[in-house]
Amino acid sequence: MEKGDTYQEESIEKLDVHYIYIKALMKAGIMTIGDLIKIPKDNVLSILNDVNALGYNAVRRALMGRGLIFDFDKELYEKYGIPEDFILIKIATLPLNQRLINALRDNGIIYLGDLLVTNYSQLANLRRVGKNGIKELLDYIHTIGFTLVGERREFDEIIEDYKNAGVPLVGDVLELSNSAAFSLYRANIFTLDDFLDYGPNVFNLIGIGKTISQEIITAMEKKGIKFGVENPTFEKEISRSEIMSENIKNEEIKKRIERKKELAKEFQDLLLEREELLRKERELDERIAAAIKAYKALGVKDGATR
Amino acid sequence: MELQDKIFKMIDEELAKIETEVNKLRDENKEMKVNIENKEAILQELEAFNEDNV
Repeated sequence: MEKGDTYQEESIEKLDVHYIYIKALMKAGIMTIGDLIKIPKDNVLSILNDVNALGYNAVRRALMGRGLIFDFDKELYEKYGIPEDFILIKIATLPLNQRLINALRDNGIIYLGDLLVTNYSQLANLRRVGKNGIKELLDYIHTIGFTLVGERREFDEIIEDYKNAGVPLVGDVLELSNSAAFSLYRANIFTLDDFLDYGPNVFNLIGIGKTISQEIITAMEKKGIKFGVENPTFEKEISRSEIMSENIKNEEIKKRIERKKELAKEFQDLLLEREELLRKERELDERIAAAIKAYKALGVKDGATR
Repeated sequence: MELQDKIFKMIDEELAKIETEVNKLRDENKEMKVNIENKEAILQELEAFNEDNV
């Protein structure tokens, strides 16, 4: 973080960002970097998106480049328990594959803070971040002690669980090619039930272009499956409850134990911090009392100002 | 409700309680930091005044 509060009164013109954004912000009455940091996200988005779709990210990046973050971002990072030291670490400096770093950058994920608040399904839908990329990222995130919100296990493991539970996968039911099936799995659509729940939006998923869309439509016609209507033939055999294997439950327990450990550690750290703060406050009280005594000794009346 | 679900529910409730305590402590520490900053500013002002008037 930028040292001190010198930026508070600094004109937003000093931000390293195109002048069109500065102009829009100033027009909205935001004159200083201090003002900018404090405004709610909706306001920033509405001001900058009126200029163009890149404005918000450009301004946010310019702030972060100065070691500053929006207050709403700060709240989000606090909510996720991400330490300040982590937030502004550039992804480019992490021990990750260069192609993955580039893909994250192109998706607007520049800093570690951005990555750690990304939830799993967003990550799985990022452009050019394939299955291996997701695995590499998750491995890294786990080594630094974090997990993503809504994190799911590897496709292979999930697919294995469905198979063990005797639940047919949508790719098998519709007899789809691997690329079509994995485009669905990437969006957490594993069973026909998932597929029907998702509905026609499935054709808007990243990775599902014209060819795969056509393949899915043909397969649906062939099997007599339609969106928005009952498909009784398949409905019963793919009940979600069937897939809750012991394996998944054990993972859930492990996650909770880890969370408890994290909380206990944080509690301990906060208690230590409290002790230090109390000590500091007591010392300050004593020094203030001494200073007031000296002030009175000078014979200055109470309430006098410099 | 299955036994396992009940256990999960109990653990989650416990985690929520701990989380509330942690958040409370964190907020209180934050408030203390603000108080300390204010006191530091007051002290600085007092000491500067006293120095000027010695």
